[in-house]
Amino acid sequence: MSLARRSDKYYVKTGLYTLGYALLLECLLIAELIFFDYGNDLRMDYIARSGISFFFMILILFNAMYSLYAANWTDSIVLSMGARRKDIFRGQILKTTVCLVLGAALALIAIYFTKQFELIGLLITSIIGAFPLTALFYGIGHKIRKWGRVAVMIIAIIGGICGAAVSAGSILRQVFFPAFNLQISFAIYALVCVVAFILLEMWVYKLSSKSMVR
Amino acid sequence: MATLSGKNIVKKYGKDTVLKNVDIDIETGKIYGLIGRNGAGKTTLLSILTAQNPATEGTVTLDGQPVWENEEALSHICYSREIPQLTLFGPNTLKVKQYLNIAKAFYKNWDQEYADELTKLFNINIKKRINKLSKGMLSAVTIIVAMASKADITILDEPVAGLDVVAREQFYKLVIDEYAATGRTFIISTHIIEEAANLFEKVIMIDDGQLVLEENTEHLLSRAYRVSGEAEAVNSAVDGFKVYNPESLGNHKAVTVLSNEPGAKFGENVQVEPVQLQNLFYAMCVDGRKEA
Repeated sequence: MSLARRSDKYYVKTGLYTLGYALLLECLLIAELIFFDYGNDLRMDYIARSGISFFFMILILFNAMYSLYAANWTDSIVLSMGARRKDIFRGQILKTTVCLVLGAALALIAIYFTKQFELIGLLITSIIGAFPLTALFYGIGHKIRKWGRVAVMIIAIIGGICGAAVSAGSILRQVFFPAFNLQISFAIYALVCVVAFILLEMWVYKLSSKSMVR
Repeated sequence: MATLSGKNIVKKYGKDTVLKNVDIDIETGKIYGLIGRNGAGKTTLLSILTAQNPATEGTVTLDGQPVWENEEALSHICYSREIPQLTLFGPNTLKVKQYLNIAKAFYKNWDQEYADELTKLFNINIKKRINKLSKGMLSAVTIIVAMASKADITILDEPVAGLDVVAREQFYKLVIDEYAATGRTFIISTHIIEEAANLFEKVIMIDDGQLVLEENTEHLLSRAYRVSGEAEAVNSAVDGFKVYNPESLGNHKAVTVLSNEPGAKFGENVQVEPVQLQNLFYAMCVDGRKEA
């Protein structure tokens, strides 16, 4: 098996682990929501809506945070074991894609069974927004030694919260594009995300090509 | 015979030049010892030779092909280096098992059975986290990765640091057995020179970012002498030789000499003794070096 294939396999597994951790946290949240409703009538509708919405946020934050770590930790290990920089760059995109797409598929199944169809729009905007946000955090991860840990952590926390909120769509539509109809605002949002993702990945590629084992 | 070759390697970190025009040729099928003082540039050189870090100037090739981002070249190389117990975000909480799984994923010829065997030999609990390992255990993990990688060119950076004498001897035996069985090339960077000297077929000495020598160990030691006696007699005997680390006590003087060829004659008026690798290294590195 070629190095590229072995590397891809490793990153797909990493993406699945990230999704696994997100699901674990999601299960804890659902259990907590059920626990709070214990003794009362279970508000299944509320629990389903909260649980699914929270899952989108976890997916976005987990991907972003793991990218921040990866640039300073696991990438170095992988590079020290003979991976090429281009394998790592491609692997990170693959990892994010696996986690977000499979996460979205699971969310769609949950939406279907709980009949929370109004969350589909939120799901799509969240997933689209998560891609550039993950790339941004990965780039910040590369710069963390230069900029300093505290400064970057502040940026990361603010960025994470803002990103998750913006990705959640409702703020985007109500605050940024109140005059537009849903389709136009969504199209603009998607376009901005795609352009941002491409630009950020170009930046990340440049940073990755100089990465070193530490 | 394949050769891992570095030409005119320069590495700068800001204003500091860590490696200064290093030329090095590593022939396969040999055990090399890389020795040098702390900060001499050993780790930097090894990381550049294995494309883990970029050189500021110079080229690294394996059989004439660049090593940088080259799958074919990289598939023949393993550089198992010290595992950091701290990351930028805190303790390295990766488990040994996870670390070995990454190695398994990336080394083409990874031998899991051998890795398991070595894990038992060094008594490593694979469920333990990296940040909870002792210095010796960390060294053992780097040895496991290096040996089980089955890479043609295997490089170990300070592999015996923190290991007890039993584990160190086990490691030397492992290298000899593996070398005898496979003919793999080993480059071992170490500060415990005396113990490992017998292992090295060739020795590379680096000092202040420059390659001081790269030579067959036996040949090197055969032309190294410690010459002692009355100061005047010693001065006269070593005239024309490369002299290192002159030591005087009253009228008595001792120097370390490196002749160009073995079998140098110093006359009857001085005592001549062979020099161990560690003593030669010390003599060449200490201040007061001079060339006669």
